[in-house]
Amino acid sequence: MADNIRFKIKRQLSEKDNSYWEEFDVEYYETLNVISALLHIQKNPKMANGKMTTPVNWESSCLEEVCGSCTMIINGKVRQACSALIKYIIEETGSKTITLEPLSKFPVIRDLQVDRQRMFDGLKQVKAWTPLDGIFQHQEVQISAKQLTEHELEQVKLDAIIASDELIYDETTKTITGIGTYQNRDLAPQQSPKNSDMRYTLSECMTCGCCIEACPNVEKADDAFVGAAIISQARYFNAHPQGEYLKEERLEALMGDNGIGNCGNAQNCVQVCPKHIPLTESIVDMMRQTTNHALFGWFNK
Amino acid sequence: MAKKGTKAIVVGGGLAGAMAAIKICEAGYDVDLVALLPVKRAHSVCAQGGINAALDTLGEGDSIWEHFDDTIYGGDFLANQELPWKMVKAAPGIIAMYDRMGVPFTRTSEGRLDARRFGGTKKRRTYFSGASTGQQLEYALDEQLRRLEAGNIFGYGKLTKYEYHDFQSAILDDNQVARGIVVMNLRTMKLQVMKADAVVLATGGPGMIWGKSTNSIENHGTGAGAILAQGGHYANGEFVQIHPTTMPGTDKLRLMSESARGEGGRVWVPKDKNDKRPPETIPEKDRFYFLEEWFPAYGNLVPRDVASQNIYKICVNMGMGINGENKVYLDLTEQATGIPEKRLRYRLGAIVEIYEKFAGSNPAKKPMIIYPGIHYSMGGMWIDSNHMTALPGVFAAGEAEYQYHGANRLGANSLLSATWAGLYTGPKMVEYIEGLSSHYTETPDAVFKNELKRVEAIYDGFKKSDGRENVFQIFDEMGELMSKYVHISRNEEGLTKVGEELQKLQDRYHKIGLNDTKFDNYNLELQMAYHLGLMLNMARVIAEGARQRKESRGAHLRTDYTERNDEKFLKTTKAHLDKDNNPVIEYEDVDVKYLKPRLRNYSKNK
Ligand SMILES: Cc1cc2nc3c(=O)[nH]c(=O)nc-3n(C[C@H](O)[C@H](O)[C@H](O)COP(=O)(O)OP(=O)(O)OC[C@H]3O[C@@H](n4cnc5c(N)ncnc54)[C@H](O)[C@@H]3O)c2cc1C
Ligand code: SF4
Ligand code: SF4
Ligand code: FES
Repeated sequence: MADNIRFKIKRQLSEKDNSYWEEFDVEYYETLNVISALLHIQKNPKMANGKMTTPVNWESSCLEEVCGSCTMIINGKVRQACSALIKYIIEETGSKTITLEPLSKFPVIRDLQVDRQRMFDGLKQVKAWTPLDGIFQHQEVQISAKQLTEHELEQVKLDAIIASDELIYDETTKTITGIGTYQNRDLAPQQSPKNSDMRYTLSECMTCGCCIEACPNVEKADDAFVGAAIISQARYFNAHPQGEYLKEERLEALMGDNGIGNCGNAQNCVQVCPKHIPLTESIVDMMRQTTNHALFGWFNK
Repeated sequence: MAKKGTKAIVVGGGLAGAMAAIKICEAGYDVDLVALLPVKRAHSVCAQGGINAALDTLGEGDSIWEHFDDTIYGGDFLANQELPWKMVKAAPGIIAMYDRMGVPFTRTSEGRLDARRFGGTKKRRTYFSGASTGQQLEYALDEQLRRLEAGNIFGYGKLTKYEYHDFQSAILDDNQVARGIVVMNLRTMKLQVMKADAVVLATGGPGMIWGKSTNSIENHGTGAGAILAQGGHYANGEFVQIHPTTMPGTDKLRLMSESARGEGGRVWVPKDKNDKRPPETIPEKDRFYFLEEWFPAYGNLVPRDVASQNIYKICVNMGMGINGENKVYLDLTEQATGIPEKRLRYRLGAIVEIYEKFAGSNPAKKPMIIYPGIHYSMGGMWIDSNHMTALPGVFAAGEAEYQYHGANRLGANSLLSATWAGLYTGPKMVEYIEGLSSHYTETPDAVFKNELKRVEAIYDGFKKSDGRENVFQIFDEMGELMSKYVHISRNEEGLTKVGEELQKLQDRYHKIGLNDTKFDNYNLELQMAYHLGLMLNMARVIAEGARQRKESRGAHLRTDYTERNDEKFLKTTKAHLDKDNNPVIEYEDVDVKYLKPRLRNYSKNK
C-alpha cells in the first residue's frame, strides 16, 4: 500500500485568532505515526491542493508516550500523537483520512500545541510533594575526628583508606583531618511492596491532559474543575509515609470550588488514560478521605 | 529571603538542572530556571532501567570501591578520576534522598529497596521503579521545584520557571565573565536578556545530531553548541554510546532497556543464517547466544560498547543477522529465560508496553527484534573539577558535560551522574558567587545590549534570507551522515569524508529560506535555523575528534587502529573552534590518581 494518507488539520495562529482547516497528503509506510507525518509536513508544507502554507506546529519530545507532550485529538479521540500508528488507525476506521485537532479544554498556543499550565497549577494547589526538611547531601565540610561519633568515624575511615589524598587518618591519635562530604543515608520509612506498587501505578501520570479533555465536567477556564489527574496525585502523596504529613491540607484544597465535588462520576477519564491509571479508584478513595475529613477533621485540630 | 543583588540561572530541567536549582534555592539564592518544555517533560523521563548506588540492600557485599572500579574500568580508563570517585561515594545518599522525596522504588517482599544487575558489573546495584525509573526521579525533583515555586519555605530562595524558553548564548562582560544569558521566549519569538551571577547549562545530550537515536526530540545539545561558538571547549565528543538494544524505527530508535537483560533477557541469532522459522519455534540447539559464548564471565551483561560492537560483528562481519538484515533477537520469553509473563510485566511493564505499542507483538510470547542505536554522549562541555566551563561563571552539569564516564558509560550510571552533578554544581556556583568582587547589578548596560544585538542580528539574517535550502532537510542530511560515518565502526576514510560533507552542509546552511514567516509565536523553523548552525559546528567537532583519535577505546572503535593506545591517547580530547569556525583538537592528560589503567577483558572476571 504505497498510497497517500489525507490529514485534515485544524489550525489556529494563537488563542485569539480564528481556527481554520488545512489538508495535507503524506505518503504511507508501515511505521508511519502521526508525529512522523507532521515531520514530513514540516519539511514540505504543501497542502493537498498544491498550495504552500506554513508548517504545522505541535509539541512533542520523547516519542514513546512518556513525556505527555503530544496529546491531541485524533479522529475525534484524545490520545498521544507519537503512539498513534497510522496502520492501526486505518485498520480501525477503514478510512485513509485522519483529522487532527488541538485539545479543546486548554488555550491554544499555536495549531496543535496547547497550554496545560493549569494542570501544573492544580498540582501546586494540592501540594503534590513531600515536605522535605532539606536535601542533606554532600555539603563539603572540614572535618576532624572530635566531631564524629564512633559510627561516623568508622564510615570516614573506610573512605579515608581509599581516598587518602582527601582525608588523612592518623592511627595513633585516631583523628581524621581534611575535607569530607556530609551525607545522610536515612531512607524514608520502610513501605510495604503493596503500597509501593499502588503508588507506582499512580506515579506514571504524565500530566498529558487526556482525562481532563474527556471529562464532561471540566470547562475551558482557569478556575474550572481540577480534574481526575490532580485528584489522583493528591492520593499518591497521601499514601506516602512522609507525604501524609500534608494530608489535611491536600484534602482541604480538594474541597474548594474547583475540587472533587465537581466530579459526576462519569468515568470518561479512566477510559482515555494512556497510562491505565485507576482514576475512578483514586476518585472514590479521595471522596472517602474528604468526606471523613469534613465529618471528623475537627478531631485532628 | 534571597541574598540581595545576586541570582543564578539554571538552563535545563532534567535531573541535573532540577537538582542544581534545588540546591541553589536551599542556599538562599533566587533561581531562574529556563527550559524548552515544561520541566516535567524533560528528556530524563525517558530513562527506564534504574540508578546505581552501592547501597547493598540485598547483602551481596557490594562496596563503593567496587562501584568505582566498575565505572572506571567500564569507561576504559578515560575518565578523570576525582569526580567519579566523589560521585560513587555520594550515590547511596542520593537513593536515600529520592526515597525521602517519595519515589515509588520497587521493593522486596520485606519492603526494602530492591535492586537489579546491570551491564559491566557483578553486583545488583541498580535501584529502580519498574521500567520507567527516570520518570519517577524526574517527577520527584519537579515536585520539589514546584514547592519552591510556591514559595514560603523559610530561608530558601525563590524559584521562577521560564518554560518554553530557549537558551541562545551567554552574556560575557569585558573580562569574559558571564553576567547572564540571552534567551528566546518561544511563545513570542522575542529575544530577551536574563541577568545573573552564575549560569549552569544542564541542557542534556546532543543525540539529535545523529537524527535517529533513543533520545527525545528536545536533545539538540545547543547549550554546548552555544558555548563552543563563544570560545568554550568540547571534550571527548567522539565518545558516544551506542546502545545494543533499540527497536529499529523510522522516526526514533526506541530503547529496550538494559534492565531487560538485567532481569534475564538473552541475545541470540539462529545458528544457520538461512533459518527462516519463527523465532519462538527455533529450538535451543539451533540458537547462537553469542554474547554468552564469547564472554562467559559477563554474558549478556557485558558493557554496552562491547555488546553493540559484537552485535555489529554478528550482523555486518559475519552476515548472521536475522534474514541477513541488521537485526538480532532479544529474548524475554519464559521459554528462554524462565521468567513468567506476570513477573515480566511487573518488573519491566513500561518497556513491554512500548514494544507492544510500536512493534505490535508481545515480548513475553515472541522474542523482540533489536539493533544497536545512538543513545548517550559521554563527551560534552569541557569543565574543570568545579564543574565550570572555560568561560568563568558558566557551569555545566549532566549529560551536557564530559566528566564521569570516560570512553563508555555503564548502564544506570547517568541518572546518578546527572543527579550528582546537580548536587555538586549548585553549591559550587554559590561558592563562586560569594567569591565575586562585583555582581551583575554593577555590570554596564552595554554589555547586555551588545550580546542581545549580536543574537538579534543572526535572527534578522534568518528572517530576511530567501534561499532555497530547507533547514529540516539539512538537519536530516546531517543525521544521515553522522549515522553513516560516526557510528559503531569508524575509519580514516569515512571520518575524512564526513568532515568534508558536513562543510558542504554548512555552505548550504548559508542559503536557507523559511516557509514559516510568522515570527511572533511558536515557530519551530526559526528555532531550528538557529540550532542547526550550532549543531553543524558540533557535528564537525565530534567527527574531527574521532578522526584524530587513532586508537580503539570504549565506544570509539576504529577498524584501522584496533588497539587501545595509552601512550598516545590516554588523553581527554579538548576541542574548540578557530575564528573560521573550524574545529581545533587538543589533548589533555587524564587524571588516574586512584586506579592505574589496565586492559579490559570481559570474557574473564576483573
Ligand atoms: C531512552 C533512554 C533511557 C535511559 N535510561 C537510563 C537509565 O535507565 N539509567 C540511567 O542512568 N540513564 C539512562 N539514560 C540516560 C539518562 O536518561 C540521561 O543521560 C539523563 O537523564 C540526562 O539528564 P540531564 O539532566 O543531563 O538532561 P536532560 O534530562 O536531557 O534535560 C535537558 C534539559 O535541558 C533543556 N534544554 C536543552 N536545550 C535547551 C536550550 N537551548 N534552552 C533551554 N533549555 C534547554 C531541556 O528542555 C531539558 O529540560 C537513558 C536515556 C535514554 C535516551
Ligand atoms: S469520573 Fe467523570 S466527572 Fe469525574 S473526573 Fe472522571 S470524567 Fe470527570
Ligand atoms: S491521569 Fe492519565 S490521562 Fe490524566 S493526565 Fe495523567 S496520564 Fe494523562
Ligand atoms: S512525544 Fe512524549 S508522549 Fe508523545
